[in-house]
Amino acid sequence: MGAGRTELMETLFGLHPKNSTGEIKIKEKSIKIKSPSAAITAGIALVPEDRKLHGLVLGQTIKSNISITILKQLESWGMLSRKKEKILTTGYIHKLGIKTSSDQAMAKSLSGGNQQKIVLAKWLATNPQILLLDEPTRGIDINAKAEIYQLMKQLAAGGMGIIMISSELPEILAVSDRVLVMCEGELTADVPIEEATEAGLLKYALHKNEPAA
Amino acid sequence: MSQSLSIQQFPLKKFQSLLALLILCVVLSFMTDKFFTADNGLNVLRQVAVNVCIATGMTLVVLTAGIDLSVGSVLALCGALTAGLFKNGLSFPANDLFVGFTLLGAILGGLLLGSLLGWFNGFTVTKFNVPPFVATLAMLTIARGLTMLYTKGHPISNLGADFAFIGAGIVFGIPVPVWIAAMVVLIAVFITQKTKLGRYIYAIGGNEQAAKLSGINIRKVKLTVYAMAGAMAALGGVIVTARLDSAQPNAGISYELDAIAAVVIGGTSLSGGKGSVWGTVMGAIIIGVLNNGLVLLNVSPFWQQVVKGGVILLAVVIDKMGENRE
Repeated sequence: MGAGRTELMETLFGLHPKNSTGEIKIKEKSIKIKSPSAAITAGIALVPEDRKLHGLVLGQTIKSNISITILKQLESWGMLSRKKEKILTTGYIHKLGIKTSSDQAMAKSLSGGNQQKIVLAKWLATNPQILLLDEPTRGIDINAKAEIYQLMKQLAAGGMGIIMISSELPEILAVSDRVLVMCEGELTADVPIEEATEAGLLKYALHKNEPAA
Repeated sequence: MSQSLSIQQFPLKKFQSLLALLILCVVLSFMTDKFFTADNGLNVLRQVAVNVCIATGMTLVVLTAGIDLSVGSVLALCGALTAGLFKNGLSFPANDLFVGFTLLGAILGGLLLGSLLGWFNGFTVTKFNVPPFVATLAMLTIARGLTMLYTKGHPISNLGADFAFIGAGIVFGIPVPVWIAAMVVLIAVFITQKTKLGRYIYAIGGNEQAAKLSGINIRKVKLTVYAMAGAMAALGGVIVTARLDSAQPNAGISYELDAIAAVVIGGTSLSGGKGSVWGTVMGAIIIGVLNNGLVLLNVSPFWQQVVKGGVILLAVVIDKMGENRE
């Protein structure tokens, strides 16, 4: 789209340490994020836009895909605990309703919606304070979409901050509390949901540098 | 259905190379009665020990979607250094200093150099984004040149009985090189199957972008893997040197090809993320058995090369057919 939304998320997640400026504050505390692992430590998780390219190792099992972010916690005396890993992955398979015969199935054997749930599971496993979702419902079926909205609501109610990128206005209006609009790399609007309308948001997305209403 | 098929994929692949090996052994047993004897079995294992060491390190690199062409030269340089340290020690005439080495010290010196050279491979690959093929091709030449410089083109020989024991000794009925290779394999199997590092290796080979976004320090993992491959090649160098009781400046030439062949025959994908150390061990033994069998059958060495190439091709074709079926 060229609005710079994905780049902004990637920067928050420490993927552009060399060509980024500015300050990141979490709960009033300024932090430096220079790598994805630093972002994870700071409690940030990123569900990327392209799950096949950036979210999953398609040729590997559901289990390895979910546990990859928290292997450190599954290790004792230098060895991974299969038992702990099994508990973790089957837990998320149930919690998110991932439809599969086993956690040993290959990620690529699942439908788009179930693949997206694996990506969500691997990030929820890190217990993030802030969850960045880049087009989380793109290319998945309507049921899975509804389930993901439901999950987002639950997580937000539980105190997690969620920043979702979306190009679908109905989706934005349905799930957001606050809407930020970006256009050509700049923030053009910051609207509470009560004041947001499709037409109003579209205006900020299309016309750069228009004075705020 | 497609799910249950892919679940079975891994063990099936593991047994593919084992099955091929068994068939090969049965056929050879019928063709010559010199093949299926304990002596010949140990003989084959002794011969493949060096390749197993190198190919195990190669497997780790290939699993990350890399390759290491420098292992043959690294083997020569580290073998020469070990021999040189043990026989002549290190002297610094300017400071009037001489450092002598015990056998263990000399071997550790060789292994350290091997890991440093491997680390440097990983450094050029990760820091400057040089394709592994090119980075390690450069190291192949550099390490060979350094070997010539260090040995001045002459073998370092007469290393004594203790050193030779590493190549020719037998402990509990099993040749020492086989013990060493077995130890290397067990370490690598442990790393790949039981540790965080192993998972990271497979994840990087399977999808480097996704691995990076999962918070994996790609650079650190690759540096570790190339350093391990270098150390394992160095260990191969120690064994080769011990077996000949001499460090040859031209040792290990084209050994990288046998190692890659073992990796490929063992079912590890050159595009990374798929395969196993066990597969490579099977692959190395298949090559060893094939060489041995063809010698026993008095097949010309020229034909041996043709057959070996054919087997590599066959292994890759079977692998590709399996992938297409998925």
